[in-house]
Amino acid sequence: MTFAMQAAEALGIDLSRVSAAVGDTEAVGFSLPTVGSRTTYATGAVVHQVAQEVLKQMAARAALLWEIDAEAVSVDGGTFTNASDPKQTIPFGELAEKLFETGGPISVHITGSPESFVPGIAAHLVDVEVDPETGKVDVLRYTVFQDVGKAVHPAYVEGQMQGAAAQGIGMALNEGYFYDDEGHLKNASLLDYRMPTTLDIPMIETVILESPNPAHPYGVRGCGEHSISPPPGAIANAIHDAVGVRVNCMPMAPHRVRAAIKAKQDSAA
Amino acid sequence: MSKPEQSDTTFRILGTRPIRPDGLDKVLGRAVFSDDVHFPNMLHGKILRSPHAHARIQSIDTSAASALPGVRAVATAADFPVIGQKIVSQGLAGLINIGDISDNCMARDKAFYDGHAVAAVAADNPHIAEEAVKLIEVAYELLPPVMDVRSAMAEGATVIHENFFPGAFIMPTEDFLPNASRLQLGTGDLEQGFADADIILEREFTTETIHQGYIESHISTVNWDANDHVTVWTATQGQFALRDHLAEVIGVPIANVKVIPLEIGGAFGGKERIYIDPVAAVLSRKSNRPVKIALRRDEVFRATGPSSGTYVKLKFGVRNDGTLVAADLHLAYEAGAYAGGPIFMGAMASTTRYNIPNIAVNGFDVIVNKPTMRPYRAPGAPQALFAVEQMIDELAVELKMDPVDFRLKNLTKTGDRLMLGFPCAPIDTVNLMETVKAHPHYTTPMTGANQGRGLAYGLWFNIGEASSVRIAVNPDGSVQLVTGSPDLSGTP
Repeated sequence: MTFAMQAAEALGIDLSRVSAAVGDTEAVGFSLPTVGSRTTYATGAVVHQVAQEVLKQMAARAALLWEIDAEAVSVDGGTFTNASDPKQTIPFGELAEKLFETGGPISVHITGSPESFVPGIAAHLVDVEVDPETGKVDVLRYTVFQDVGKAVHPAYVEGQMQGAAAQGIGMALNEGYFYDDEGHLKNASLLDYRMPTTLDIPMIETVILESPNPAHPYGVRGCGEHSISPPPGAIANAIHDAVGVRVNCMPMAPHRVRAAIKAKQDSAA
Repeated sequence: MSKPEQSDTTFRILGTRPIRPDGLDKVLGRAVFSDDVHFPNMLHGKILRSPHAHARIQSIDTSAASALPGVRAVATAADFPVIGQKIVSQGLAGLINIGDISDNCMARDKAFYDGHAVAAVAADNPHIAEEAVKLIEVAYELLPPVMDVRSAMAEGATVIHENFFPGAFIMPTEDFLPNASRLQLGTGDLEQGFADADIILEREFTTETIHQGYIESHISTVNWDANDHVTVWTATQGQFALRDHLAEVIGVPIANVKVIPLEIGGAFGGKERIYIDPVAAVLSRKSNRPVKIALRRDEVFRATGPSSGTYVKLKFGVRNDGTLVAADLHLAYEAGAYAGGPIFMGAMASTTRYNIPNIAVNGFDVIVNKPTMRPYRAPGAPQALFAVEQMIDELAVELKMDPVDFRLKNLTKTGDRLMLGFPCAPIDTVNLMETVKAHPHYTTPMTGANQGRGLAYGLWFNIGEASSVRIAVNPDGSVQLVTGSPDLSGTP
């Protein structure tokens, strides 16, 4: 969806005119995996680059039809215009019909390599309530602030922010491999490896910030990973604010929080 | 020709919220996921896994399994090419040790964790395959398991690999201990930094091994044809990495392997490495039939890449005015059974967001008898931030400073030299913190008993690098867009 949106934006056509697919290894050139929050940013930048080349080749076809120089054709919002006679125009769709008669179909393939180490940032704010008897931590309120450069599809971006926060809350409070002394994994099921459910997590509020990334034509930064990192620290700090103990072992499961509270009570007694 | 749009352009489409086109077909079950692949003559593969965390494989007897009616092929490491240490480079994706990948897919001499694959069967249906796997007899010599980073780094620890190539995920590590390699990052003069500090805190933290927890298991169907062309239908974060690694492990040219990426039911870093594809490939070669392997949930937990448990030791120094002046970080991350865990990412993420003039990071990639650690969404960062953001909070409390103000005083800004040695690309960290400070969530007082508020903040880098795109214009004005990197959110 985010590639199709970037392609439609760049080509100046309706989103409904773009059909997007992930290619098999014979359909398209080498690409790194979708890792490192790279794909909407890096592949998106190459989508833009390819779209510019498509427009350039189509402008040359319009020039053929009008018997003018290719440089004399401008394109904006999906319409090609004769710069020296602005009344002479042809929309993208009509020009596409004439490709066979002006030299054949157009397809452009580029393997690009956008730059790395583009920073993105996220801050998380969380309110918790700790049950001092059991050590159980309830998350009361949660807000994610994240700078994503430009949110291509804000609902997708919010989903990334909320999903990453949810996973971070899970590892903060519950999740962990449990091995016995012989090294056998004892909780290899979704019942025993306890990930959070909707009962454990409140609605996560999102605040999207947009400071443009100069390495991308639309300013896009990756946004998939950033918000999994802050939850454990934020929740640990909230636990300290609530009951005055530092829990230095993750997950901060009830038994550990309870032990920290008890140690504090014992040392005060 | 139009110029490339600037970021201050008013967009027609970017920033809107069109309905996702993949939703309905997924809800109605029409979308094709990896378990939806079926061929008329397809076999089902099952894997026998080591019940021991650390054991030498003395012998494997597959004769009873082979004799079971309906069994079409049995495979062990003897059916895979011997690779040894073969390092291939994929740019920023890092150096990949193909020998380790092969050994992880099918143990050759030793089982390195509970769940390590030791043999496999392909049969007419999954039930026969499961019965046949139980008939395989493996003789093990049990070895002491090493289950956490501190035991693995202790003097006299059981040595897990007699030889290993130091882990290399983006930044290489160097030999350090029998079970651990090391990387070092830093800048400035640590001793002077601590001498300048008014408050110095030292703290220790541990975290446990965690799993990405995607809903869809690992499922792959492979067909090895008479011309040694191998076709793979599976869900993956990277069809090209899968292709390249699989070709090396099964010993065919890369051009002979075709990977068809399908709908993906979650990945989060856990589907960028091969586990079952080479096993299905070898079973297909031996049976002359397409073979599907679908892991059970317990196999996913036991044998596919979780993320590191850690031990972190911090020493931070701050001046009374709230300026961070020194930080000494010791980060020991589980690599799992083979070197190459997320230590570099964890080290990089640990403090990059703060401008600390004197800093030393010692990162350790530690081999333990657990499955091989793989990326999990900002690999290594949550573990580091669990420690560092608590340290920052505790220093703010000591200084009696607002936690936002303390961070504002120490933020990395555009152009600041990072400990990686280059300046920070444009980013507005101040705006982020000011936005937090002005937000109603921050300004609303906490009132209830045993309630508290916490803040944490992280910086993470995007990778760019090789990305392929094709656009074709059709006569009806519609446009075909094909990309080479999967969209994990479900639709490109």
